[in-house]
Amino acid sequence: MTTNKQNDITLLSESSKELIEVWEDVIDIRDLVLAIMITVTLTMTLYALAPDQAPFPLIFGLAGALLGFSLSIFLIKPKRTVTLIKSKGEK
Amino acid sequence: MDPLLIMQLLIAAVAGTLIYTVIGIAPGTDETAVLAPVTLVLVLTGLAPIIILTFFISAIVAKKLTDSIPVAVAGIPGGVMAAPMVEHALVLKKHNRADLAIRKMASGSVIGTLISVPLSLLLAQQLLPFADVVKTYANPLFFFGAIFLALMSKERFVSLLAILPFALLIQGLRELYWATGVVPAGQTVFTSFFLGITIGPVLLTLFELFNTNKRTTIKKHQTKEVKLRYQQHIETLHPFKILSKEELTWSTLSSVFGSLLFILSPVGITILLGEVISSRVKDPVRKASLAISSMDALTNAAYIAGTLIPLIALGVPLSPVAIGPGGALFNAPPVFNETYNMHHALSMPEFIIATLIGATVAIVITYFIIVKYAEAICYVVFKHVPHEALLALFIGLVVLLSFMDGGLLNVFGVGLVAIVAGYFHRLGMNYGVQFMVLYAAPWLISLF
Repeated sequence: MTTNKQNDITLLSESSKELIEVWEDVIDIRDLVLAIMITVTLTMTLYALAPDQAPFPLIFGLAGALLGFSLSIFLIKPKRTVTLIKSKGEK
Repeated sequence: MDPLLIMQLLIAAVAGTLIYTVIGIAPGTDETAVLAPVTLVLVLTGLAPIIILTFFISAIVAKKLTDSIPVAVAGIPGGVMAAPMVEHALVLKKHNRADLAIRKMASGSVIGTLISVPLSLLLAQQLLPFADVVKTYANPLFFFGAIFLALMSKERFVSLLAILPFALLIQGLRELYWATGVVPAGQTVFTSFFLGITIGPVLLTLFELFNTNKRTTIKKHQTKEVKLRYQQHIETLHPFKILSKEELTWSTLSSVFGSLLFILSPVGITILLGEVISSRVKDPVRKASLAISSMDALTNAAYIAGTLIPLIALGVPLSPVAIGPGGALFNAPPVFNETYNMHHALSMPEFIIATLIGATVAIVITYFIIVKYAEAICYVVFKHVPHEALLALFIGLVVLLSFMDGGLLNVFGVGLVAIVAGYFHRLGMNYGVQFMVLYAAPWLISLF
């Protein structure tokens, strides 16, 4: 198994969390499953609750998706460490 | 024109700009995957076509302006189209000139937009007489489009060999839905297959995680380290002053090329022309600035021309951009279909108004304000928007639209399409070829 083979800075990071790369960014699988469950459940619940008439199911479903998105932002921490470097600004 | 409508167009343009400024900055977002579903949803809600077009144009311009920002400040491409620019942007970053990179790229974008809007309208007018011929042969043209794009791609054998099997999968599922009565006869599942293709590569990666062996052997990563440099010396915001004469000339020329070659893949021509233009220059900073400004001009031009020309002149999505990110403007049953879509819904003056309002609002907001606060916005997005939430949002949208298209069975059907499409994608069959096949499938299978 290659799990802990990266020998560069692995020792420094506190909880060497196992993240995987999807779409050019890293994610935690458990968090992703959580986010998908929240979003899909809310989307389909609101869709099911919508009045049965032309644009309503779609609009309700979308509102559910956005609600799930907001909730996920609130619940899940991004897996990036962002540092802001102040530079003087050269000529 | 009705002032109330103008007001609505402005609101649509502002909304498109703001939403896609944030999405543009979020790393790794593929243009097709983020533009197509939202446009589709707007079309399906029954909004006036002119409002949707305004939204779409402002969204592309804003997205193309901002997806270069994370490239410059963090070396992470904000989108697939920004990927070819990373190498050059990193040179500038190494020389501590990330601010220069942002300004050069943004100015390139503005040039690309300014050139391609009038040029596309003009080209579209020239192509109008051929519209009827194109429409009569639309189906075979999609098939030849698929072959053409396959031949132009790096993995031409995979792409060619995969055309028929992929068409078989799509048409096979449709026939099955009709046979089992899941979908009433005469109604064709299109939208959700389209989304399935867009989300294919991501879904395949996620599906593989269910395999124990794959899960334990997949490469593990640490938290992504993002360093943002705070820049305080952005003096001028005038695009014509930011670019040198040389950069201005090449940006203009590559915008013209990008517009004329609208039928080709924008990523392909960007890489090609960018290298050709910059290879003559030795000084690294000058070379990198020239490369990113002209590449950004080109991607913008290719995007706008690729959308507007087929939309105005043909009514058939015969370009990679039109068939991908702009797909919903051409085909989004039950609102739009091959015989009635945005091409038929809008008149020439309406196309011009929607394009001008969309492009202008996006440039004004994104260029002058966002470029100035690039680092601050990057900071907020990187710090607070988890990648998981974005992925989940897209999966939620796919599930919703699949269910609406053909019930629970189609949710799994779309999953199947996505996994097959994702695998072909991984082997080198690009989106352009796959979308052409999606359109060509009924005709292609009926030949047998």
